[in-house]
Amino acid sequence: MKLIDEKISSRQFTWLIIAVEISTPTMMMPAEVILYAKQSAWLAILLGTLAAVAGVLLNLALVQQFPGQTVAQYAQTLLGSWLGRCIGVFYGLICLLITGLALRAFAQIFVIAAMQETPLWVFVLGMTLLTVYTAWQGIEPAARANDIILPFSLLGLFLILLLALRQGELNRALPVLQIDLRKSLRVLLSLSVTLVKPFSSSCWHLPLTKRKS
Amino acid sequence: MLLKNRLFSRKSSYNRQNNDSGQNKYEPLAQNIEQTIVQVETSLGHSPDLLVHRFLAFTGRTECAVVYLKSLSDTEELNKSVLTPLLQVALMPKDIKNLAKVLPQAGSQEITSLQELNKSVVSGNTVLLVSGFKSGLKIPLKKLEQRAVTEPDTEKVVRGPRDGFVESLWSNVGLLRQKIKNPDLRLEVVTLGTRTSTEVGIVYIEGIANRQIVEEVRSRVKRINVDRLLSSNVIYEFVQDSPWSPFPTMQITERPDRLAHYLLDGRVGIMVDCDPIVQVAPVVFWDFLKSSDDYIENGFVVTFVRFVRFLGHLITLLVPGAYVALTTIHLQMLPQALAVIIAGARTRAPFPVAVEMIIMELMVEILRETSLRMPGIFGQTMSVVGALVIGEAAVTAGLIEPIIVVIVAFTTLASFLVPDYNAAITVRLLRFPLILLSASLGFFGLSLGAMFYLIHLVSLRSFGVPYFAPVAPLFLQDMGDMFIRLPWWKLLRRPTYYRPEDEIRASQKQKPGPDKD
Repeated sequence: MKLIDEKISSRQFTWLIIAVEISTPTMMMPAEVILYAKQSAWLAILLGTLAAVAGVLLNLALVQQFPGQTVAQYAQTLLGSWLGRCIGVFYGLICLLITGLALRAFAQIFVIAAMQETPLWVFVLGMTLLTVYTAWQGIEPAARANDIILPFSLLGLFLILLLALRQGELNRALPVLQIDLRKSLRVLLSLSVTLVKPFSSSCWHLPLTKRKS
Repeated sequence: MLLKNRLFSRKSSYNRQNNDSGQNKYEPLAQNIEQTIVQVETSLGHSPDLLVHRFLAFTGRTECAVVYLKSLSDTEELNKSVLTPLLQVALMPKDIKNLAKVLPQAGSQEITSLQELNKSVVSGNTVLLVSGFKSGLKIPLKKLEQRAVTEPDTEKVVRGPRDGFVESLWSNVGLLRQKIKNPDLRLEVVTLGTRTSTEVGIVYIEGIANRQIVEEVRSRVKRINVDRLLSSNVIYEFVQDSPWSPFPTMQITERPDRLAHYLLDGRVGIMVDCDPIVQVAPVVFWDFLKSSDDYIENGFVVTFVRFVRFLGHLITLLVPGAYVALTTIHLQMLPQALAVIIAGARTRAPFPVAVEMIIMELMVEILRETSLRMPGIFGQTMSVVGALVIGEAAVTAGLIEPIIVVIVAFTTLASFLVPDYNAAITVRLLRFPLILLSASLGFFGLSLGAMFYLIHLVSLRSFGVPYFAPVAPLFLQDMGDMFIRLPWWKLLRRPTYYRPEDEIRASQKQKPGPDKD
């Protein structure tokens, strides 16, 4: 065993994915899903999750085929150097996209909820600096910080849901099965893409997890 | 480029100079003892405390001399165990080694060069020169001024052992060996400091301490090239992991029992001659929240006290910032009763909350530093006068609102809950950026600062051990001695995050109680 082993365990990786999945989509997605799918939101979420799982499995299968390689490396083996590089750039852009979206959503929520008169860029700048600092420190500190943060954020989420439970009205969910296929498909697509995005971007980090020998 | 070259050449000339003055040159001793004595006197600059005693040994036939520093040597012992026997021995031995055999003084060594001779004399040894021999005999007759073993001021315990380290490496090793009577206790001594030649000891327990960590400590310590080594902190600054971090990545202790605990957990100690403070590595953040009292008191009490300490740490860090954020930006978050009180106080206050807070925090730092520097009894008196008079007067005069004084006093008290002084002072330092962030961005600023703090903490390592272990990364099996302290018969394993070679601390099934068969 080396003195310093810059890798994360698969448990830490799982926790990181959980953290990303519960933080970004819970902020933005519910409103969007309800807006389009109305009462059949539950179905859209179910189908969207299935589609997302399919995407995850595809990525996972590829990663398992090429252990220790990032997506940019194995895409070049699979699709040739030119097209593979394009895929690499594409995955990189997805990383950038979800970071940007999360940043924007976070800043927007803070402006709406707490400090209406402060300009948006202040929050974006602060969070960007924090993100850059974390990225600079490497994957390991990020995973370790997440080990501490995730239990607390799950607890917070649970408490909020518990307190909001009294205001729920089950009647609003009726009719349960009223399917507008065109709209549902649209929701399904955007939902599954949102759910699969964090995992796809994590294809960069998968080679950094410890392998069980 | 030019500047770089110049810097580089200066550096290399510095190295050369060091080597020249150092030990690498070899000059053999002359057969004529008078010539050698003149050489020694010249190299020590005819120092008044350098004494040479000439005498005729072996029934008055052979010229001999002892060279020693009277400031460091035990003259009585010299007379008794060197001069008297030499005058009595009739036959001259064949060489210096045989001469050592007839002397009733353990630890004598043959030396052959002038450099060795000089070095032995200045470290307090007595050197015996015999005419006709090309070598001398180094006899350790050191007599050093030493403080008595007392309880260290910085690490007081309510109950438990009262001994503390002193300023001599060998006495300290002795104190440690009294606690750990084990042949596996290893001591490696390195002489560091090109001008001070200070002995530095690396202690660990073979079979418990991780070999890689020991090797890392050894290689980092041996890399040090500096002219002076007068305190163990110099070693710390040369070997620590993250030199630009405000957090200490090595622990210090002055207590032999504490050091024994640490070594038995598989850690490595670095002792320095002339400093009672021992540096210990590796360290994790939570070690600073533990005290040696924790293993003496009742486990329930310790668990509670640890919780209070952790709370104290968070209070010191977050409460001033949180108060500033609440009163300047998030007034709507306050309960009405509290908001009324604060608003009442604020109507009189002339300065913004953040300014008041920073002024008062600075005031406390000034008081703390003054009471440290004031001689003797003045310290306490002045700090009481300062705190009472300045605090009370400032409030009465309407310069500062009373709630600020309450919060500052409270956080100051809370900050000293952390048992380790180094760690406590770091947290006190980090409050200021958090106050500024809270004043400008409210709770967003506060949590942003706290997140930076957290990311920085988890990114640190101390000799390969993650600084925030066993919480992040999570080591569940080590939680028995972290936030809670289980009884001794439940603490079966050494902390695994120090990667000890042998993890077993106690055997299983030792729960006390009457036999049940």
